[in-house]
Amino acid sequence: MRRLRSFAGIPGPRWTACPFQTQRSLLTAGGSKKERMQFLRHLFLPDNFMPHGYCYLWAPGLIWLHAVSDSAIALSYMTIPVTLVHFTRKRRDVPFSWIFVCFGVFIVACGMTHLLEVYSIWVPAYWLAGGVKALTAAASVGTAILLIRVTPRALALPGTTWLLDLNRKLSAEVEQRVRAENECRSISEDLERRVAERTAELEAANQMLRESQLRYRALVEHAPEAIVVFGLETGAFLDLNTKAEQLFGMSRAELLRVGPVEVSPPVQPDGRRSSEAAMEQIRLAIEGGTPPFEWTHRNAAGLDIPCEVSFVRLPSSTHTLIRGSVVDITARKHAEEQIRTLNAELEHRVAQRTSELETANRDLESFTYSVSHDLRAPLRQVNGFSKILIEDFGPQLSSEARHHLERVRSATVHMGHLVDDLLNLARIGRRPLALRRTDLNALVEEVVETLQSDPRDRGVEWSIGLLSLVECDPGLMRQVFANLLANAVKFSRPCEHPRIYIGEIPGEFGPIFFVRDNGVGFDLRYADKLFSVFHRLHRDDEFEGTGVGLAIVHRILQKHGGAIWAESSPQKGAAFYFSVNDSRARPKVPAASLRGDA
Amino acid sequence: MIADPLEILLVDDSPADVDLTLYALRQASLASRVQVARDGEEALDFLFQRGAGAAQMPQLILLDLKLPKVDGLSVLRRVKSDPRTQTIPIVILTSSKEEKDVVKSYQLGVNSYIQKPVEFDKFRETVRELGRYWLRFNQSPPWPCASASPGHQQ
Repeated sequence: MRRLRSFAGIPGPRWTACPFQTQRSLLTAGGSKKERMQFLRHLFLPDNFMPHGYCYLWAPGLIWLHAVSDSAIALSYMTIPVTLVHFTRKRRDVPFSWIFVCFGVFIVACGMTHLLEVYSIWVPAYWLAGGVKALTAAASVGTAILLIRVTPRALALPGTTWLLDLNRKLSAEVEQRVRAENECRSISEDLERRVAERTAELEAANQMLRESQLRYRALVEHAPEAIVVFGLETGAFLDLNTKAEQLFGMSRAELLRVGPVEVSPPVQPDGRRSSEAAMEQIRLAIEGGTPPFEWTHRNAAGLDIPCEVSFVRLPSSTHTLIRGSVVDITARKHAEEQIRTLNAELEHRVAQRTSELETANRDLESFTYSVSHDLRAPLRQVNGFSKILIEDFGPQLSSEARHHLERVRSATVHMGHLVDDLLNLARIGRRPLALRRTDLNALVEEVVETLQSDPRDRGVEWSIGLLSLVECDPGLMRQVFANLLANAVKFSRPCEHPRIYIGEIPGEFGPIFFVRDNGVGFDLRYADKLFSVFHRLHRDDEFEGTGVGLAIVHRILQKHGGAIWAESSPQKGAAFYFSVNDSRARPKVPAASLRGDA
Repeated sequence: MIADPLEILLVDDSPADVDLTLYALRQASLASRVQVARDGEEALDFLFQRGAGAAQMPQLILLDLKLPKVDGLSVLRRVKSDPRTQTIPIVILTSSKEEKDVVKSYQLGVNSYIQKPVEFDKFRETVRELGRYWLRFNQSPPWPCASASPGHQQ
C-alpha cells in the first residue's frame, strides 16, 4: 500500500504515446525483447495516467468500499464460470451448453473488469482495463444477442412444472405400461406354458404314434407268416415283412419290383395258370375277402413252396390295396402226408386185426359147430343104448345093474344140458345185439307162460310189476328172464307157497329191474363167483343145474352195457338186480334182506 | 308091381345112430321099408342110379348133416334140384341146432329140420311122431311115373 501510494503519488505525464503503436511495431517488426518488455510495463504499470484513487480523493472508506466490492464481485464473477463449467461438464445433456460457456466467458471478462477496477484504484492501467472492458462488451453483447436468439428456443424448452407433470404422467403411464407389461408377461408366460404343454402333448402323442407305428411294424415284422401288401394297379408289392423276404429268398428291394405272380411258378399244381388264378383270387378278395386258399409259390432258388394264402382288401381311398398273408405250409403238408400214411397204416392194421378177429371168430364158430355135432351124437348113443339095455334086458339085470345104467343115462342127459348151455354162452358172445325198444312185460309174460307149462310149477304165485320200455335185444333179454325166472322157480320149489316178484325200482341212471323169490336163497359168503361158469352153490342132488345159466345172464347184460348183482341169505330167498343199459347203476336204497312170506 | 314100396331112406354115417333110429322106428311100427345109406354118395347113388322105378323112390328121406364124402347139405341141394327127386319130403335129423345149418337147409328147400334129442326117450318119441306125421298124416306127392298104389295112400 505504501508503495502504491508513493508510487501513485508521483504525478506527471510520462507517456503520451499510444502503446498501440509500440504494440504494432512489436507485432510487425518483430521487435526486440526489450521493446516487448517496455510495452508490457506500459500496459500494466502505466505512469501517465492518474489512478482512480485520485477520483476518490484517496478517501480510505471509499477506496475500501470500491475495492472490497469490486473484489467480491470479481471473486464471485470468477467462481460463477467455474461453477458453470462444472455444471456443463456434469450435465453434458443440457441443451445450449455453449450459452453457458458464453456466459462464463462474459462473466469471467466481467470479473476481470472489476478486478481491474480494483487495480485501477492504484494503477491507472486504463488501456488494459478498457481493453478488458471492450472484450467484456463484446462478450456481453454477443452473449446478449445469442441469448436473445436462444431465448425462444429456450422458452420452447419444457418448464419444470410441465416436466414434472409430464413426469407424473409418464410415471403413471409407465406404471400402466409396467402393469400392462406384467400382464403381457404373465399372459405370455401363460401362453408359453400352454404352448409348452401343447408341445409336450403333441410330443407325447407323436411318441405314442411312433411307438404304435413301431409296434405295428414289429407285429408285421415278427409275424410268423409272411405279410405282403400289393396294389392292384401295378401288381407289384408295396410293402412286405422280413418273413416275406425269407420266404421268397429275395431282398426287400428286389421284391418291391415284382408282384405275387412273379414269385409263383407259371402253372399251379392243379393245372391253372398262375396269372389267371391269381386274378381270380384277387377279385374275390376285392369283393369281400377270401378264406385261406392253397397256393404254390416259387422262391428265388426255383424251389416250389406250398403255401396257405389269405387275401384281404385294405382300406385306402386312393389305391386298391390287397394285404396277403402267406404261410409256408411245407411242414404242414408233410405232416398231412405223414398223417395220411399213418392213417393208411392204421387202417391196414385195423383191417389186419379185423381179419384176425374174423378168423378167430370163424375158428370159434367151427369149434362150436363141431361141438354141437360131435359131442351130442355120442351122448345120444350112450343114452340110447343104455336105455335100450334097461328096457329090453331089464328083467335080466339086477336092480344094481339097472341103477348103474340109470346113472349112466342121467349123466349123459346132464352132459347134454351142459353142451347146450355152453353153446348158448358162446353164441351170445358172437352175436351182435339187435337193439330195439322192447316191452319187457310182454317178454316176461311169455317166459312165465312157458314155465307154467311145467306142472310142478303151477302153484307159483307171480307178482309182476310194470316194467319200463328199454332199448335191448329182445331175444337175449328173453333168455335173461328165462334163466332168472327158471332159477327162481327151481329154488323156490321146496317152499310151500313159492312167490316170485318181478319189478323195477328207480336208479340214478335208469330203471333197475329185479327178480325176487322166497326160496332157499344162498350164502353170500360163497357167492363171489356167482356169475362164473360152472360155479354152483348147491349140490346136484339138491338142485340140478349146469352152473351156466347165470353166466349166460351176466354175459348178455354185459353185452348190453348193464350190470347185475344179487342179494340173498340162506332160507330167505334171493333177489337179483340188474340194469340193462348202465353199468354204473346201483340202487338208491340198499335192498333190505328178504323176509320170506311163506 | 313091386311089393313093399320104399318108405324111408335113412342117411346117417354113424351105425350107432342108425341102430337107435331103426330101433325107434321099429317100436313105432314104421320100420318095414327102410333103406339105409351110410354117406352122401351112397344116398345119391341110390336115388339117381337105381331110381328108375317109382317104387324105389322113398316116401321120406331122413337126412343127417354131418356125412363123409358128400355132406348132408350137398345131398339136399342135389335132391331138391333134380326134378325126379325134388318132391320127395326131406327131414333133416341131426345133432346140430346151429342157426346157420337151419337157415341153409330151409334155403335149400328142406321140408323139416329136427334136432335129435340126447335123451333116448325123447329121441324115440321124436322119431315116432315124425314118422307118423310124414308117412301117415302127410299127403305124399304123387311120383311122376307112379300110379297111385294102395300102400302109399292112407
